[in-house]
Amino acid sequence: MDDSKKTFYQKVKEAFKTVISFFDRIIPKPKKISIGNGTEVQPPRSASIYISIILIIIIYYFTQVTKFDLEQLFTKFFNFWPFISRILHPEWSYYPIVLPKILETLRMAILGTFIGSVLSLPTAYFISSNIHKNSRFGVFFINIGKAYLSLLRTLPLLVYAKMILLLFAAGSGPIVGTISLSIFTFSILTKMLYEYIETIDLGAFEAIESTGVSKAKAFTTAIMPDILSVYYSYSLYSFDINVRHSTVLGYVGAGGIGVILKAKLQGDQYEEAGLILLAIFITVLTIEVVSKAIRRRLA
Amino acid sequence: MNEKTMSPAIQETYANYPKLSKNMVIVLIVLAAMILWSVLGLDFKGFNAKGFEVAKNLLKSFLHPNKKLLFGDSPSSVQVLMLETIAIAFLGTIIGAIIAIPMAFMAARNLMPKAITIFFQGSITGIRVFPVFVIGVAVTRVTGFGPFAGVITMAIASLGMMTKLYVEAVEGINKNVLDALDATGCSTFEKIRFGIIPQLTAQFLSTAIYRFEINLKNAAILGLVGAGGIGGVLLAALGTTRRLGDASAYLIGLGAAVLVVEVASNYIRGKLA
Repeated sequence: MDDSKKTFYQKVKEAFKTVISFFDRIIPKPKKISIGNGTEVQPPRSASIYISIILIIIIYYFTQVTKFDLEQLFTKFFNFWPFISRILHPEWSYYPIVLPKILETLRMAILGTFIGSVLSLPTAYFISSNIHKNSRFGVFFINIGKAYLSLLRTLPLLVYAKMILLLFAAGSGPIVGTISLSIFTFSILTKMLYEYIETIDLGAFEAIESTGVSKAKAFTTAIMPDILSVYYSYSLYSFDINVRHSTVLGYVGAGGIGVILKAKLQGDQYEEAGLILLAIFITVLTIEVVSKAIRRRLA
Repeated sequence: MNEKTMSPAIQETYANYPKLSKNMVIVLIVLAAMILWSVLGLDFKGFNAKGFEVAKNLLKSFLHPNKKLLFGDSPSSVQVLMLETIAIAFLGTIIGAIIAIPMAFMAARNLMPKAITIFFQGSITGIRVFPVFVIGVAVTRVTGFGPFAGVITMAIASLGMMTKLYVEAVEGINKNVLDALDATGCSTFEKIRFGIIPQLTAQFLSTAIYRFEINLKNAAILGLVGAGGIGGVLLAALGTTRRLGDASAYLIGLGAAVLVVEVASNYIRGKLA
């Protein structure tokens, strides 16, 4: 066949074949297995060989892109030590400033989680495809809603904070933090919820709907009792995440403990930063333990 | 339903059915108090004088991103920076995943004595609690600024979560398989190769892919501390200079990459499970 007449797909296929035949020459094939009646069978080579070769090439290329330097890491590794040792000797007298900031962080996380989770339940109801599967009009909106949600989820929390920060007057950091945490919570919680609703058995829902009540009423009587404990435990889980994430919000000026942490880290005052980190550590750990205990009882 | 037609037994059960349990009331009161406390703590200082205009410009800029950055190949273009971001996330995930394997075996309660597991579990929790940017600050003090610092930061930050999930996989190993291999006379190496590795690969891989997804999103944070990737220029463009066209180009690039990786990761993890 004339070379110019080949389609792009054929060209790719041929190139692929060349690469495979090149591999065939340099990598030994697995041993032939002879079956009792004299025929020999050639077992196919495992795909993991190709995958690992591709991985090695990618890793090599990426180390070039990131200027990866193992030697530097090993020679300078012990430079970590002064940093860590200063952080491990926290300046205790700094606590009167740390404590209110920790409380501010908690406030942001509580309110952000609350707003986000309150909004997420009705939204999850509206975009669960199994509940609205019979209305073609609804399916269209469901798909738009889901696409919009995944767009919301692609942007990191920090970027939301930075964008919302542009809208408010100076000094309203905590509000900005709360709003960005609400958006963040809303986007992940709604996804978790509608994915859960789509897996549950609709028998009771359909039975109640067939008595003639509206979909929303059938949802609250038949499905809500099913999903409520999951909803609470997801909300607690996102509260857990929010407390952890809200420490970074202050770094862009959106309130909370991050504001002073940034100042101390940039000002080389690692002893104070150590106390802040200790406070974060205790708060996050406490909330994780409490939330885990409550979620275990809910389950 | 008419109450007269209901049988008395049903009526009685219905009347005794707890409408609001005592626990529920306590929980509600605590919750309300917490929310009230947080609302009162916020002090509203008003909107930015030009807030509305800024919001309008921000939305408009998504329709008109800086095309030179979005499609060009200059050093500060989306292409170059996203490649760097993906490289940081990828290498960080791989290094973290490799270090996490021995850590997970050391921290598994069904394999190791209690003293060792407590030490390793404790250090995992310690790493997990540190915010990514704190690790980033520490690393940039050692290696200097740049993408290399980003890789090390990502590796350390991934370690906590990955080890935790790996430990769960290791603790869920089916030991009957090992007994069966023992019975056929396998050596220790063969037991690991055919008894343990096949049970763990799928879960380990899917954890690593999931973490890669998270690391890509965290790339914005790395920019804060000067550890490379698209985050630094993105936050700078949204900051005081307010080059919203540039910012939207970077956001579209980051969003597209995250979306593609998320879809691919969901597909692969679905196959692995």
